[in-house]
Amino acid sequence: MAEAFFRELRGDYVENAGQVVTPREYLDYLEPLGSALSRRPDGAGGPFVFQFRGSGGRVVGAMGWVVSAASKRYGGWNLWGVWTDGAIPALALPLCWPDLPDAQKLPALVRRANDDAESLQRRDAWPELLDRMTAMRLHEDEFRAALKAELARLYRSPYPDVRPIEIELEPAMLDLLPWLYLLGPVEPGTAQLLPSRFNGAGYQYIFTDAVPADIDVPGEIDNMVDTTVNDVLQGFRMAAALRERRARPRVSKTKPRSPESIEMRNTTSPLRRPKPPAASALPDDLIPTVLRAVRDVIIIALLSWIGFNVHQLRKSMTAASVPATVATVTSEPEPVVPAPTREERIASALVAQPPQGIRIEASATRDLPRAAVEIFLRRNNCFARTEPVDGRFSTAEQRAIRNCSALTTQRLMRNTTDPHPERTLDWLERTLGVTR
Amino acid sequence: MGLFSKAVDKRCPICGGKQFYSVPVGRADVWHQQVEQIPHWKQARGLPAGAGVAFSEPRLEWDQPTFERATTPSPHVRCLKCASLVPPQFLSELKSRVLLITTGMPAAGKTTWLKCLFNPSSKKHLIAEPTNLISREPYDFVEPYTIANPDPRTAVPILLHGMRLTFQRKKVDVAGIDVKGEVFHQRTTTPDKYMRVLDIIRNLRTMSFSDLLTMFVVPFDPTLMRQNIGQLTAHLTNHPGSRGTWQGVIWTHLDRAQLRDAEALFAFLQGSEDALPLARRVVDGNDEVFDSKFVAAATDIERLVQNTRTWSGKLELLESLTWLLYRIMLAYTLLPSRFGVGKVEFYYSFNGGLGETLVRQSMRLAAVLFAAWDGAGRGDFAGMIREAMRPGAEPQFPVLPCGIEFLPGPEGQANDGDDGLPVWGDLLLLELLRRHG
Repeated sequence: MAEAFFRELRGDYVENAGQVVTPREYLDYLEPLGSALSRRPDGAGGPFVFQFRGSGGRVVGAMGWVVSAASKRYGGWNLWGVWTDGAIPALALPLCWPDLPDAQKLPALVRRANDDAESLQRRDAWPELLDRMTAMRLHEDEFRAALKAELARLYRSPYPDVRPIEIELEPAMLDLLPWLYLLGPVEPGTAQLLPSRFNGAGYQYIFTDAVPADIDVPGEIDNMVDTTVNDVLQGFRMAAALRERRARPRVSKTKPRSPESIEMRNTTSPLRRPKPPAASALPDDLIPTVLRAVRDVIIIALLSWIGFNVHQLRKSMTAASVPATVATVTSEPEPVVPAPTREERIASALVAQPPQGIRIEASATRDLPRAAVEIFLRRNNCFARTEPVDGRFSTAEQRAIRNCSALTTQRLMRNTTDPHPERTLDWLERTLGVTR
Repeated sequence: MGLFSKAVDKRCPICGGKQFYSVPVGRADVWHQQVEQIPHWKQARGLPAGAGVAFSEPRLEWDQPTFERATTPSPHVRCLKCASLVPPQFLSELKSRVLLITTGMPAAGKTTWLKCLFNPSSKKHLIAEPTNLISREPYDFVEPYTIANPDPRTAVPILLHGMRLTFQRKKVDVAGIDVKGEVFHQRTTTPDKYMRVLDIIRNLRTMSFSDLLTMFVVPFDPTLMRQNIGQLTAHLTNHPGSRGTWQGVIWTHLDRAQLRDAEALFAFLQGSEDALPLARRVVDGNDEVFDSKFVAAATDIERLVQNTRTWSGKLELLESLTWLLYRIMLAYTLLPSRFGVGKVEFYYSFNGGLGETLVRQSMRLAAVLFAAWDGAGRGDFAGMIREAMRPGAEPQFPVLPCGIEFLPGPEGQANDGDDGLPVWGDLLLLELLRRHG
């Protein structure tokens, strides 16, 4: 008999033995899962979708529920769920959600999940699975509003594929998670969902009692959630389209495809099916040609722009009239991509790759010289690294500026309050590795 | 490039590496990201490369030394070979360097004991409370945590910590290594980790220290059902006489002991005209536990316990005697204030070192009671304790008894970890000071 796709996973805190997990060889990988619940009361916890690379490089996926077992020991936890070779399929969490919180229902859940295992792995079977999903609490206005607000916040995250996005929620709002997982900015097949910190793409949920702040919900998210209430499949397609639009390079001017044309991607699926017929504006075979043409135009425009700038530079550097040696590719360079200024390049590098261990707030890019001084102070242990860089000098930072001998040596300040505009930018450019 | 001279034995306790580099302090989240890029940090601890490192704080917002090289002078160093953060106490002067190994089964109370010992800012019921005389300066970081937040659940099998103990002009650097109890219990589940820990302990024993202290943490268990570390790891105990070693037991959870049968207790002490009144005073809740005959009374109890051959059938009586010991310990903590002197002064100098005399006698009683429990449970520690209690033998205190539950705050307020209590855990520190005096 073939081995089941999903197999049972259980973990518990056993007195005098410590934390145990079945299968036991996964203990080292699963032990962090419950650590974030240390301060929570007994039984408090939530779902997890987790994947790790075990011995031999084999990817193992796990999905389940982890709760604090504080009554047994501070920091102890229990978990139950399923594990499988490879990542957990994208629709497994929302499909299993109703039964997941109940440890007693685990055997039935494993049985049902295995019944659906083949469909979960086949993209073409997803519409049927999505149709089976009930909209659960989405019919509640308050719940729907909370989902829209949270999705709006998640879609604003700058690095959804690199770092976990933090989700703050009340324990009573755990039902948001499967919807956030399904409709959120990270492809469900690759996203992890954990209460503890992890490295990689996905969501880390943190329990809080604070009421979330109001947020403007973009029309597309509003529309997507409202559609999902009556048609989960359509909502899922809209989310896929939204994710694709976000992932697309900005220079691309191609018309976004309609939600129906978006292929439901499942990176974990071993079975690749032919693409369903797409109802896009262009025939499928023409799209690569058009994309290539756009790319060529952009490359030519960039080369022209570079040539033009080099020419200007040389002209400004030599007093004598020297004939231009750089030939331009075209006589009329098309300003398709506006040339970023030095400040813009530094600002974007600062946001994209902030110095290690230093938090950069968005406002920091408004005043780069001040931000440079703030970073300098933190990198040279003249000021606490935990304080975010915001482009403004606090009283404590002004004190640090006066006392930081490294800053004095570097002569980054003109006086005690004004940073040197050139030197600070030079230093920041070097530090961030920005090429001119 | 090594930072230190080869003439001095400065080695990484984890891998034996001799070269170190300075690191800056950054956010714990940064550490968490960087450790993924440094597989040898995990390998040196017997962890698979993909294993997670547990954190209890979800946002990881505290500071700790990261892995990148410091561009400015930093007091934090990492081993070049295994990237372990090495507390400065491991690299300090040989003469004032003491190695403390603590190990025990899960939930034995190791972390609680260490936390209370090293970070005693507002602790009660200690012999040597923080004063100007004795100060403790812990190294802030117990990688991957901090001394203020040692997470109890982690896959990391070994934690390094350090503390500088200062008494008047004496300075002792205590380099500590906390071996997680699960390692021994799960040695068949995670054999790599177990073997790695044994390697590390072997490596530690080749390092030069002025003293090596191995402490086994054993919880009080009247049911004798709990496996203790002594039953699992006989190979951890030192070879007697092989070097200046000091090994002992930290006997935790004594506050769980109950007075099972007062009459049986009195009957057992019937033969001693000093011990019986002492027991009656304690049972009656009399504040005046100590009198001029205390030493004789404690000596008599010790003798009576030793003369009883088998305890297996008399565990309730043994528990009552343990309860009596814990009450005596609690009563001791009230004495200094009654005489209007500090705890350290009471221990060392008041009335010719009255505190030391009372403590010494109580410790002997604790040792024989522990040996009785150990014998009844077929443990492995009895031989070690017998050897330690021979006249003129070292150490003076083979068993350090303590409670594990924190005492209620004033006016019955809710208690918490900051009101910590390992009663008389500080004896270890006093013993260190005495040896280096």
